Amino acid sequence: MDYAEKTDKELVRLSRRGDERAARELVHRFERPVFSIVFRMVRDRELAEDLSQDVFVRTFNNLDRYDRSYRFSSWLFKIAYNLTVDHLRKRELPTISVHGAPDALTPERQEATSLNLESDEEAPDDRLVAKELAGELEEAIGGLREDYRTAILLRHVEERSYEEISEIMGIPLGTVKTYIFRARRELRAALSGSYDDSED
Amino acid sequence: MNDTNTETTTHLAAEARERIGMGGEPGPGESRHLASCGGCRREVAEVGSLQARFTALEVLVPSTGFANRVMASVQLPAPRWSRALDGLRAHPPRVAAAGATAVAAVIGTIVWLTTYPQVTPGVMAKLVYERGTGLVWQAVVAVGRVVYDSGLATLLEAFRADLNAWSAVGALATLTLVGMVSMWMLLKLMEVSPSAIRTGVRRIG
Repeated sequence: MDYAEKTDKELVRLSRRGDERAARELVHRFERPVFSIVFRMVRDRELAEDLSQDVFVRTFNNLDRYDRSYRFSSWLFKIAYNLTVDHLRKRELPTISVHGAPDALTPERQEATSLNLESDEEAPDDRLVAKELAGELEEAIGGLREDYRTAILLRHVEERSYEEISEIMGIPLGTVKTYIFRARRELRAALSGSYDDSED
Repeated sequence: MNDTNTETTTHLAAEARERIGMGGEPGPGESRHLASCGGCRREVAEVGSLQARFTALEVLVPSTGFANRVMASVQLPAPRWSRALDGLRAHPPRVAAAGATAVAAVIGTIVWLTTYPQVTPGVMAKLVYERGTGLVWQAVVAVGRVVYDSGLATLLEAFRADLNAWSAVGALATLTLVGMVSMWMLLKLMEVSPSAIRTGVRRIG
């Protein structure tokens, strides 16, 4: 049985029957997007891994509650969003930095919690420029309010529809549009020095 | 493909500007409007530029072994066959009774067929085909005999006394019924209550 070719819903059905390979395929399929969005919300690698692990554990432990009329990935992101927001609200993290978690006081801790923006596919000069641009954007994203940040990441990184974002975040469609509009405006302001305006 | 604004004098809707900016194809009316409206063109370009920067963001990857750690923390429901075995292990007397009934049914069928070789499966199949509607009644009679005689040997003796094709079919129907009841009991035993398949969580320290 080739699990890689199965749909998410088929894998969920098999996982509910106790098929470990199906569950592992779901983890393999979604570990990067879940980790990416959680990481960009908390800016701490260790914490993001712990939270992402919790996301999957909660997801698998509540598979019997999954409503098949929704996309599995939307449900997974909803759990990720709720778990991460709960954690952020408990800790009340301040504005975050691409250079490491706010509570990273030692170089080792900064290294452990910082964003890794390396890319092996680009030439050194291109990589440097891309790293700078990505770093600026990461920094700008980090400066957004957590709900703006989640909405804009789901829209532009995960390319989710407004309806899906509304479902994931549990907010009205109009609020999603407002969040994304304001997030874009704040990002433009933050990136105004390097913003690529191709039109006059 | 959407073409939300075909009037060149009306600006494109925000959704249309975003869709086009994020790589969607503009409709004919939208293309005409964009060709003549610098404001909409600029907004589409801004969304496109932002999308390009987001697309260039690094794909973040958890550390090696993340999936293994997740799988070690998750206790999936046991596979169905394993749950069935657990169910069987939980009720030994009932399993023994159901198994013995099933075995008795099979042995009874074999004994009966060997005792009366003239009633071949072919003969029975022909009878079933020709007199299918009478089977229910024959089954009822056969069950009545089983209950009355309360024993396979006595049952066989009763059949021996007035052996005919109908009693053969009736007996077969009875044994089938016994087999079905046995199967039903086994299947009921294999059912596991929802609480037993609740998953547990073990946190990694």
